[in-house]
Amino acid sequence: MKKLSSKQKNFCARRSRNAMRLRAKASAARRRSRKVASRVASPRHLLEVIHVPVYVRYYAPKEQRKEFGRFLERVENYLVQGKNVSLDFSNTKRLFPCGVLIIMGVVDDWVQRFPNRLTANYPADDLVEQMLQHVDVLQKLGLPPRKNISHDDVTRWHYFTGLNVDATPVEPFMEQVRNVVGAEAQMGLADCVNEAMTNVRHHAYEKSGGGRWWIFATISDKRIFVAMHDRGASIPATLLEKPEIWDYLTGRVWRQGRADGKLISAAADGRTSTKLPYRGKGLPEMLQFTKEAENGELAIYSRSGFFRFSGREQMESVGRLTKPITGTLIVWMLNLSGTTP
Amino acid sequence: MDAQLVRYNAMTIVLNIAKQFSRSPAGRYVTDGPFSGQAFRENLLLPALRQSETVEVQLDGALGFGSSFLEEAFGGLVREAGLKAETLHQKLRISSKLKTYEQRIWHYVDDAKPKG
Repeated sequence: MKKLSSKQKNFCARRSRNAMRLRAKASAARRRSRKVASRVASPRHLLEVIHVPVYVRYYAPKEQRKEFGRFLERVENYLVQGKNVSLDFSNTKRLFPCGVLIIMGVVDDWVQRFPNRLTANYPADDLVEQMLQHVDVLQKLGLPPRKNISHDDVTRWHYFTGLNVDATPVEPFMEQVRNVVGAEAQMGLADCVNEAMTNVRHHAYEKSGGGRWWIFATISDKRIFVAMHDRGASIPATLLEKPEIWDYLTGRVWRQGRADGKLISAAADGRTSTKLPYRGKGLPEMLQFTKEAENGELAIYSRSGFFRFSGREQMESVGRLTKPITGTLIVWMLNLSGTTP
Repeated sequence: MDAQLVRYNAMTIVLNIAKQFSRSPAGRYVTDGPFSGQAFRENLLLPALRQSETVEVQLDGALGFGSSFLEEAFGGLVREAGLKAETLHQKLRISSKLKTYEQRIWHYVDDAKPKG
Protein backbone atom coordinates (compact mmCIF):
# COMPACT_ATOMS: atom_id res chain seq x y z
CA MET A 1 0.00 0.00 0.00
CA LYS A 2 1.23 3.43 -0.90
CA LYS A 3 2.21 5.56 2.05
CA LEU A 4 0.55 9.05 2.06
CA SER A 5 2.47 12.14 2.85
CA SER A 6 1.21 14.35 5.69
CA LYS A 7 0.10 16.95 3.08
CA GLN A 8 -1.99 14.34 1.29
CA LYS A 9 -3.44 13.10 4.64
CA ASN A 10 -4.49 16.65 5.56
CA PHE A 11 -6.07 17.10 2.14
CA CYS A 12 -8.12 13.89 2.49
CA ALA A 13 -9.29 14.79 6.01
CA ARG A 14 -10.31 18.28 4.85
CA ARG A 15 -12.21 16.83 1.88
CA SER A 16 -14.08 14.30 4.04
CA ARG A 17 -14.97 17.03 6.61
CA ASN A 18 -16.31 19.25 3.80
CA ALA A 19 -18.32 16.39 2.35
CA MET A 20 -19.82 15.63 5.76
CA ARG A 21 -20.68 19.30 6.26
CA LEU A 22 -22.37 19.42 2.82
CA ARG A 23 -24.34 16.25 3.53
CA ALA A 24 -25.51 17.63 6.92
CA LYS A 25 -26.51 20.93 5.26
CA ALA A 26 -28.45 19.12 2.54
CA SER A 27 -30.28 16.90 5.00
CA ALA A 28 -31.16 19.92 7.21
CA ALA A 29 -32.52 21.69 4.12
CA ARG A 30 -34.54 18.60 3.23
CA ARG A 31 -35.91 18.44 6.79
CA ARG A 32 -36.80 22.14 6.66
CA SER A 33 -38.60 21.84 3.33
CA ARG A 34 -40.50 18.76 4.52
CA LYS A 35 -41.63 20.68 7.61
CA VAL A 36 -42.86 23.63 5.53
CA ALA A 37 -44.64 21.32 3.11
CA SER A 38 -46.35 19.49 5.93
CA ARG A 39 -47.43 22.81 7.47
CA VAL A 40 -49.03 23.88 4.19
CA ALA A 41 -50.83 20.58 3.71
CA SER A 42 -51.59 20.08 7.39
CA PRO A 43 -55.28 19.22 7.80
CA ARG A 44 -55.34 21.46 10.84
CA HIS A 45 -55.19 24.46 8.53
CA LEU A 46 -58.11 23.42 6.37
CA LEU A 47 -61.76 24.28 6.99
CA GLU A 48 -64.39 21.84 5.84
CA VAL A 49 -67.83 23.32 5.29
CA ILE A 50 -70.48 20.66 5.74
CA HIS A 51 -74.12 21.20 4.88
CA VAL A 52 -76.55 20.11 7.57
CA PRO A 53 -79.37 18.07 5.93
CA VAL A 54 -82.55 19.83 4.81
CA TYR A 55 -84.55 17.72 7.26
CA VAL A 56 -82.82 17.02 10.57
CA ARG A 57 -84.63 13.86 11.45
CA TYR A 58 -83.85 10.54 13.14
CA TYR A 59 -87.14 8.86 14.08
CA ALA A 60 -87.92 8.74 10.40
CA PRO A 61 -87.94 6.68 7.22
CA LYS A 62 -84.68 4.81 6.59
CA GLU A 63 -83.40 7.16 3.87
CA GLN A 64 -83.71 10.35 5.96
CA ARG A 65 -82.16 8.64 8.98
CA LYS A 66 -79.34 7.42 6.75
CA GLU A 67 -78.71 10.92 5.37
CA PHE A 68 -78.58 12.36 8.89
CA GLY A 69 -76.25 9.54 9.98
CA ARG A 70 -73.96 10.22 6.99
CA PHE A 71 -73.79 13.91 7.94
CA LEU A 72 -72.83 13.07 11.55
CA GLU A 73 -70.23 10.58 10.34
CA ARG A 74 -68.63 13.11 7.96
CA VAL A 75 -68.29 15.77 10.65
CA GLU A 76 -66.90 13.25 13.14
CA ASN A 77 -64.36 11.95 10.60
CA TYR A 78 -63.10 15.42 9.64
CA LEU A 79 -62.75 16.42 13.31
CA VAL A 80 -60.90 13.21 14.11
CA GLN A 81 -58.56 13.87 11.13
CA GLY A 82 -57.69 17.21 12.72
CA LYS A 83 -59.66 19.47 10.38
CA ASN A 84 -61.77 22.44 11.39
CA VAL A 85 -65.44 22.09 10.51
CA SER A 86 -68.09 24.68 9.79
CA LEU A 87 -71.70 23.49 9.95
CA ASP A 88 -73.75 25.15 7.23
CA PHE A 89 -77.38 25.38 8.34
CA SER A 90 -78.48 27.48 5.36
CA ASN A 91 -80.26 24.57 3.62
CA THR A 92 -81.95 23.27 6.76
CA LYS A 93 -85.68 23.76 6.49
CA ARG A 94 -87.11 21.64 9.25
CA LEU A 95 -85.99 20.19 12.56
CA PHE A 96 -87.67 17.11 13.99
CA PRO A 97 -87.53 16.34 17.73
CA CYS A 98 -85.17 13.34 17.68
CA GLY A 99 -82.92 15.14 15.20
CA VAL A 100 -82.73 18.17 17.51
CA LEU A 101 -82.00 15.92 20.49
CA ILE A 102 -79.15 14.17 18.67
CA ILE A 103 -77.77 17.50 17.45
CA MET A 104 -77.82 18.75 21.08
CA GLY A 105 -75.88 15.70 22.25
CA VAL A 106 -73.41 15.52 19.42
CA VAL A 107 -72.59 19.25 19.47
CA ASP A 108 -71.91 19.08 23.23
CA ASP A 109 -69.69 16.07 22.57
CA TRP A 110 -67.79 17.64 19.65
CA VAL A 111 -67.28 20.99 21.40
CA GLN A 112 -65.84 19.18 24.40
CA ARG A 113 -63.61 16.78 22.45
CA PHE A 114 -62.47 19.25 19.76
CA PRO A 115 -62.41 22.71 21.37
CA ASN A 116 -62.37 25.71 18.98
CA ARG A 117 -62.57 23.47 15.92
CA LEU A 118 -66.30 23.65 15.20
CA THR A 119 -68.13 26.70 13.89
CA ALA A 120 -71.42 27.34 12.10
CA ASN A 121 -73.43 29.92 10.24
CA TYR A 122 -76.89 31.16 11.18
CA PRO A 123 -79.75 29.14 9.63
CA ALA A 124 -81.70 30.83 6.84
CA ASP A 125 -85.01 29.57 8.21
CA ASP A 126 -86.43 31.63 11.09
CA LEU A 127 -88.02 28.68 12.91
CA VAL A 128 -84.86 26.57 12.61
CA GLU A 129 -82.81 29.42 14.08
CA GLN A 130 -85.28 29.95 16.94
CA MET A 131 -85.19 26.26 17.83
CA LEU A 132 -81.39 25.92 17.66
CA GLN A 133 -81.10 29.05 19.80
CA HIS A 134 -83.77 27.74 22.23
CA VAL A 135 -81.75 24.55 22.86
CA ASP A 136 -78.42 26.45 23.11
CA VAL A 137 -76.88 24.75 20.06
CA LEU A 138 -76.02 27.99 18.22
CA GLN A 139 -74.47 29.48 21.37
CA LYS A 140 -72.29 26.39 21.82
CA LEU A 141 -71.13 26.80 18.21
CA GLY A 142 -70.02 30.35 18.98
CA LEU A 143 -72.99 32.20 17.48
CA PRO A 144 -74.53 34.83 19.80
CA PRO A 145 -78.35 34.63 20.12
CA ARG A 146 -80.16 37.18 17.94
CA LYS A 147 -83.76 35.96 17.80
CA ASN A 148 -86.69 36.61 20.08
CA ILE A 149 -87.99 33.11 20.75
CA SER A 150 -91.71 33.44 20.30
CA HIS A 151 -93.01 30.73 17.99
CA ASP A 152 -95.31 28.22 19.68
CA ASP A 153 -93.63 25.34 17.82
CA VAL A 154 -90.43 26.30 19.65
CA THR A 155 -91.59 27.47 23.08
CA ARG A 156 -93.70 24.38 23.73
CA TRP A 157 -90.57 22.20 23.70
CA HIS A 158 -88.69 21.61 26.96
CA TYR A 159 -85.11 20.50 26.96
CA PHE A 160 -83.04 19.26 29.88
CA THR A 161 -79.56 17.97 30.28
CA GLY A 162 -77.75 16.58 33.30
CA LEU A 163 -74.95 14.41 34.56
CA ASN A 164 -76.39 12.37 37.40
CA VAL A 165 -79.67 10.76 38.32
CA ASP A 166 -81.35 13.98 39.35
CA ALA A 167 -84.88 14.54 38.09
CA THR A 168 -85.20 17.99 39.71
CA PRO A 169 -84.58 19.87 36.40
CA VAL A 170 -87.47 17.94 34.79
CA GLU A 171 -89.96 19.03 37.50
CA PRO A 172 -91.51 21.98 35.55
CA PHE A 173 -92.38 19.66 32.65
CA MET A 174 -93.76 16.99 34.99
CA GLU A 175 -95.91 19.62 36.75
CA GLN A 176 -97.32 20.64 33.37
CA VAL A 177 -98.02 17.01 32.47
CA ARG A 178 -99.71 16.42 35.85
CA ASN A 179 -102.03 19.40 35.29
CA VAL A 180 -103.12 17.98 31.95
CA VAL A 181 -103.30 14.21 32.43
CA GLY A 182 -103.50 13.76 36.21
CA ALA A 183 -101.15 12.34 38.83
CA GLU A 184 -101.38 8.65 37.93
CA ALA A 185 -100.37 8.94 34.28
CA GLN A 186 -97.79 11.64 35.07
CA MET A 187 -96.16 9.51 37.75
CA GLY A 188 -95.99 6.56 35.37
CA LEU A 189 -94.15 8.76 32.89
CA ALA A 190 -91.84 10.18 35.58
CA ASP A 191 -91.04 6.63 36.75
CA CYS A 192 -89.94 5.80 33.19
CA VAL A 193 -87.81 8.95 32.81
CA ASN A 194 -86.19 8.52 36.26
CA GLU A 195 -85.42 4.92 35.50
CA ALA A 196 -83.95 5.77 32.11
CA MET A 197 -81.64 8.28 33.87
CA THR A 198 -80.62 5.56 36.35
CA ASN A 199 -79.87 3.18 33.47
CA VAL A 200 -77.67 5.81 31.84
CA ARG A 201 -75.69 6.22 35.08
CA HIS A 202 -75.40 2.49 35.80
CA HIS A 203 -74.79 1.12 32.33
CA ALA A 204 -74.01 3.71 29.65
CA TYR A 205 -71.34 5.53 31.66
CA GLU A 206 -70.52 2.85 34.22
CA LYS A 207 -66.80 2.80 33.39
CA SER A 208 -66.36 6.57 33.16
CA GLY A 209 -68.21 7.10 36.45
CA GLY A 210 -70.89 9.32 34.97
CA GLY A 211 -71.85 11.14 31.82
CA ARG A 212 -74.34 13.47 30.26
CA TRP A 213 -77.92 12.80 29.16
CA TRP A 214 -80.25 15.01 27.13
CA ILE A 215 -84.06 15.10 27.21
CA PHE A 216 -86.39 16.81 24.75
CA ALA A 217 -90.08 16.77 25.62
CA THR A 218 -93.44 18.34 24.96
CA ILE A 219 -97.11 17.89 25.73
CA SER A 220 -99.81 18.96 23.33
CA ASP A 221 -103.45 18.29 24.26
CA LYS A 222 -102.91 14.95 25.95
CA ARG A 223 -100.27 13.73 23.58
CA ILE A 224 -96.84 13.48 25.14
CA PHE A 225 -93.53 13.17 23.40
CA VAL A 226 -90.39 12.46 25.42
CA ALA A 227 -87.02 11.55 23.94
CA MET A 228 -83.86 10.85 25.87
CA HIS A 229 -80.36 10.45 24.53
CA ASP A 230 -77.00 9.47 25.98
CA ARG A 231 -73.65 9.03 24.29
CA GLY A 232 -72.25 6.27 26.48
CA ALA A 233 -71.83 2.54 25.97
CA SER A 234 -74.87 1.17 24.15
CA ILE A 235 -77.38 -1.39 25.45
CA PRO A 236 -75.99 -4.21 23.22
CA ALA A 237 -72.40 -3.44 24.22
CA THR A 238 -73.15 -3.48 27.95
CA LEU A 239 -75.13 -6.74 27.66
CA LEU A 240 -72.34 -8.42 25.70
CA GLU A 241 -69.79 -7.50 28.37
CA LYS A 242 -71.24 -10.42 30.31
CA PRO A 243 -72.44 -12.73 27.53
CA GLU A 244 -74.83 -15.59 28.06
CA ILE A 245 -74.39 -19.03 26.54
CA TRP A 246 -77.04 -18.15 23.94
CA ASP A 247 -74.92 -15.19 22.78
CA TYR A 248 -72.07 -17.60 21.98
CA LEU A 249 -74.35 -20.14 20.30
CA THR A 250 -75.95 -17.53 18.06
CA GLY A 251 -72.65 -15.82 17.33
CA ARG A 252 -73.78 -12.47 18.75
CA VAL A 253 -70.50 -12.14 20.63
CA TRP A 254 -68.39 -12.29 17.45
CA ARG A 255 -70.71 -10.71 14.91
CA GLN A 256 -71.24 -7.57 16.95
CA GLY A 257 -73.88 -5.28 15.52
CA ARG A 258 -75.93 -7.90 13.68
CA ALA A 259 -78.10 -8.90 16.59
CA ASP A 260 -78.26 -5.53 18.36
CA GLY A 261 -82.02 -5.21 17.83
CA LYS A 262 -82.58 -8.58 19.48
CA LEU A 263 -80.31 -7.62 22.39
CA ILE A 264 -82.30 -4.40 22.96
CA SER A 265 -85.48 -6.46 22.86
CA ALA A 266 -83.96 -8.82 25.48
CA ALA A 267 -83.18 -5.80 27.69
CA ALA A 268 -86.81 -4.65 27.32
CA ASP A 269 -87.74 -8.13 28.48
CA GLY A 270 -85.68 -7.79 31.67
CA ARG A 271 -82.20 -9.00 30.71
CA THR A 272 -79.53 -7.04 32.59
CA SER A 273 -75.74 -7.02 32.51
CA THR A 274 -75.65 -7.10 36.34
CA LYS A 275 -77.33 -10.56 36.47
CA LEU A 276 -78.92 -9.51 39.76
CA PRO A 277 -82.58 -10.46 40.16
CA TYR A 278 -83.56 -7.09 41.63
CA ARG A 279 -82.03 -5.11 38.73
CA GLY A 280 -83.07 -4.63 35.10
CA LYS A 281 -86.64 -3.58 35.83
CA GLY A 282 -86.45 -0.18 34.09
CA LEU A 283 -86.92 -1.05 30.42
CA PRO A 284 -89.66 -3.67 31.03
CA GLU A 285 -91.59 -1.08 33.05
CA MET A 286 -91.19 1.51 30.30
CA LEU A 287 -92.56 -0.99 27.79
CA GLN A 288 -95.43 -1.93 30.09
CA PHE A 289 -96.34 1.72 30.66
CA THR A 290 -96.30 2.36 26.89
CA LYS A 291 -98.53 -0.67 26.28
CA GLU A 292 -101.05 0.61 28.82
CA ALA A 293 -101.34 4.00 27.08
CA GLU A 294 -103.67 4.32 24.12
CA ASN A 295 -101.69 4.00 20.87
CA GLY A 296 -98.44 4.44 22.75
CA GLU A 297 -95.15 4.10 20.95
CA LEU A 298 -91.73 3.25 22.34
CA ALA A 299 -88.61 3.17 20.23
CA ILE A 300 -85.11 2.39 21.45
CA TYR A 301 -82.13 2.94 19.16
CA SER A 302 -78.79 1.73 20.46
CA ARG A 303 -75.53 1.06 18.60
CA SER A 304 -76.53 -0.77 15.40
CA GLY A 305 -80.00 -1.91 16.36
CA PHE A 306 -83.45 -0.74 17.22
CA PHE A 307 -86.48 -2.04 19.07
CA ARG A 308 -89.94 -0.59 18.53
CA PHE A 309 -93.35 -1.11 20.03
CA SER A 310 -96.34 0.36 18.28
CA GLY A 311 -99.61 0.45 20.20
CA ARG A 312 -101.57 1.19 17.04
CA GLU A 313 -100.29 -1.97 15.36
CA GLN A 314 -99.97 -3.86 18.69
CA MET A 315 -96.61 -5.04 17.46
CA GLU A 316 -93.02 -5.22 18.63
CA SER A 317 -90.27 -5.14 16.00
CA VAL A 318 -86.49 -5.18 15.92
CA GLY A 319 -84.08 -4.19 13.20
CA ARG A 320 -80.63 -3.10 12.19
CA LEU A 321 -79.45 0.47 11.57
CA THR A 322 -77.39 1.16 8.46
CA LYS A 323 -75.49 3.89 10.34
CA PRO A 324 -74.88 3.04 14.01
CA ILE A 325 -75.85 5.56 16.65
CA THR A 326 -73.46 6.60 19.41
CA GLY A 327 -75.03 5.59 22.72
CA THR A 328 -78.79 5.21 23.02
CA LEU A 329 -81.92 7.12 21.98
CA ILE A 330 -85.24 6.33 23.66
CA VAL A 331 -88.46 7.81 22.30
CA TRP A 332 -91.89 7.66 23.94
CA MET A 333 -95.04 8.89 22.25
CA LEU A 334 -98.07 8.56 24.45
CA ASN A 335 -101.65 9.49 23.92
CA LEU A 336 -103.17 9.89 27.37
CA SER A 337 -106.56 11.16 26.25
CA GLY A 338 -108.32 8.62 28.46
CA THR A 339 -106.90 10.19 31.60
CA THR A 340 -108.36 12.94 33.79
CA PRO A 341 -106.43 15.58 35.71
CA MET B 1 -79.05 14.86 54.65
CA ASP B 2 -80.27 15.26 58.24
CA ALA B 3 -83.17 13.14 59.26
CA GLN B 4 -86.12 15.25 60.30
CA LEU B 5 -88.63 12.81 61.60
CA VAL B 6 -92.21 13.86 62.24
CA ARG B 7 -93.81 11.99 65.09
CA TYR B 8 -97.51 11.40 64.42
CA ASN B 9 -98.09 10.02 67.92
CA ALA B 10 -96.02 8.28 70.58
CA MET B 11 -95.78 5.13 68.48
CA THR B 12 -95.78 6.31 64.88
CA ILE B 13 -93.36 8.37 62.79
CA VAL B 14 -94.65 9.80 59.55
CA LEU B 15 -92.28 10.24 56.62
CA ASN B 16 -93.54 12.29 53.70
CA ILE B 17 -91.12 11.72 50.83
CA ALA B 18 -92.10 14.86 48.90
CA LYS B 19 -91.87 17.16 51.93
CA GLN B 20 -88.98 15.63 53.85
CA PHE B 21 -86.81 14.25 51.03
CA SER B 22 -87.57 15.34 47.47
CA ARG B 23 -90.48 15.80 45.06
CA SER B 24 -88.37 13.99 42.46
CA PRO B 25 -86.60 11.12 44.18
CA ALA B 26 -84.63 9.02 41.69
CA GLY B 27 -81.73 6.63 41.41
CA ARG B 28 -80.55 3.66 43.40
CA TYR B 29 -77.24 4.47 45.11
CA VAL B 30 -75.93 7.65 46.73
CA THR B 31 -73.36 7.81 43.92
CA ASP B 32 -76.24 8.11 41.43
CA GLY B 33 -77.53 11.44 42.60
CA PRO B 34 -78.72 13.51 45.56
CA PHE B 35 -82.12 11.89 46.10
CA SER B 36 -81.44 8.17 45.75
CA GLY B 37 -83.15 5.18 47.33
CA GLN B 38 -80.08 4.39 49.41
CA ALA B 39 -79.97 7.97 50.76
CA PHE B 40 -83.66 7.83 51.70
CA ARG B 41 -83.28 4.44 53.37
CA GLU B 42 -80.13 5.29 55.32
CA ASN B 43 -80.95 8.87 56.30
CA LEU B 44 -84.68 8.74 56.96
CA LEU B 45 -86.30 5.33 56.80
CA LEU B 46 -83.90 3.24 58.91
CA PRO B 47 -83.54 5.83 61.71
CA ALA B 48 -87.34 6.11 61.81
CA LEU B 49 -87.76 2.32 61.98
CA ARG B 50 -85.21 2.13 64.80
CA GLN B 51 -86.87 4.91 66.79
CA SER B 52 -90.48 4.00 66.48
CA GLU B 53 -92.90 1.11 66.75
CA THR B 54 -94.48 1.96 63.40
CA VAL B 55 -93.50 4.16 60.46
CA GLU B 56 -95.89 5.52 57.90
CA VAL B 57 -94.32 6.47 54.55
CA GLN B 58 -96.47 8.88 52.54
CA LEU B 59 -95.86 8.82 48.79
CA ASP B 60 -98.41 11.42 47.67
CA GLY B 61 -96.97 14.72 46.55
CA ALA B 62 -93.94 13.25 44.84
CA LEU B 63 -93.75 13.55 41.05
CA GLY B 64 -92.48 10.00 40.48
CA PHE B 65 -89.95 7.51 41.78
CA GLY B 66 -88.60 4.89 39.40
CA SER B 67 -88.25 1.23 40.30
CA SER B 68 -84.56 1.56 41.27
CA PHE B 69 -85.42 4.13 43.94
CA LEU B 70 -88.28 2.09 45.39
CA GLU B 71 -86.42 -1.23 45.25
CA GLU B 72 -83.30 0.16 46.91
CA ALA B 73 -85.22 2.13 49.55
CA PHE B 74 -87.59 -0.67 50.59
CA GLY B 75 -86.09 -3.91 49.23
CA GLY B 76 -82.77 -2.64 50.59
CA LEU B 77 -84.21 -2.80 54.13
CA VAL B 78 -84.13 -6.58 53.82
CA ARG B 79 -81.11 -6.98 51.54
CA GLU B 80 -78.73 -4.39 52.98
CA ALA B 81 -80.04 -3.59 56.47
CA GLY B 82 -80.90 -7.19 57.35
CA LEU B 83 -84.49 -6.53 58.50
CA LYS B 84 -87.00 -9.32 58.11
CA ALA B 85 -89.90 -8.93 55.68
CA GLU B 86 -92.35 -10.07 58.41
CA THR B 87 -91.07 -7.37 60.77
CA LEU B 88 -91.52 -4.75 58.06
CA HIS B 89 -95.09 -5.89 57.41
CA GLN B 90 -95.76 -5.18 61.10
CA LYS B 91 -93.83 -1.91 61.44
CA LEU B 92 -94.16 -0.20 58.07
CA ARG B 93 -97.23 1.40 56.54
CA ILE B 94 -97.29 2.74 52.98
CA SER B 95 -99.76 5.50 52.26
CA SER B 96 -100.54 6.37 48.66
CA LYS B 97 -103.59 7.23 46.61
CA LEU B 98 -102.12 5.02 43.89
CA LYS B 99 -102.33 1.46 45.12
CA THR B 100 -99.87 0.23 42.49
CA TYR B 101 -96.98 1.84 44.37
CA GLU B 102 -97.99 0.13 47.61
CA GLN B 103 -98.19 -3.23 45.84
CA ARG B 104 -94.84 -2.72 44.16
CA ILE B 105 -93.12 -1.76 47.42
CA TRP B 106 -94.38 -4.88 49.23
CA HIS B 107 -93.38 -6.97 46.22
CA TYR B 108 -89.82 -5.56 46.45
CA VAL B 109 -89.73 -6.21 50.21
CA ASP B 110 -91.00 -9.79 49.90
CA ASP B 111 -88.68 -10.58 46.97
CA ALA B 112 -85.51 -9.22 48.58
CA LYS B 113 -82.97 -11.70 49.95
CA PRO B 114 -80.61 -10.77 52.79
CA LYS B 115 -77.00 -10.38 51.65
CA GLY B 116 -74.55 -13.13 52.50
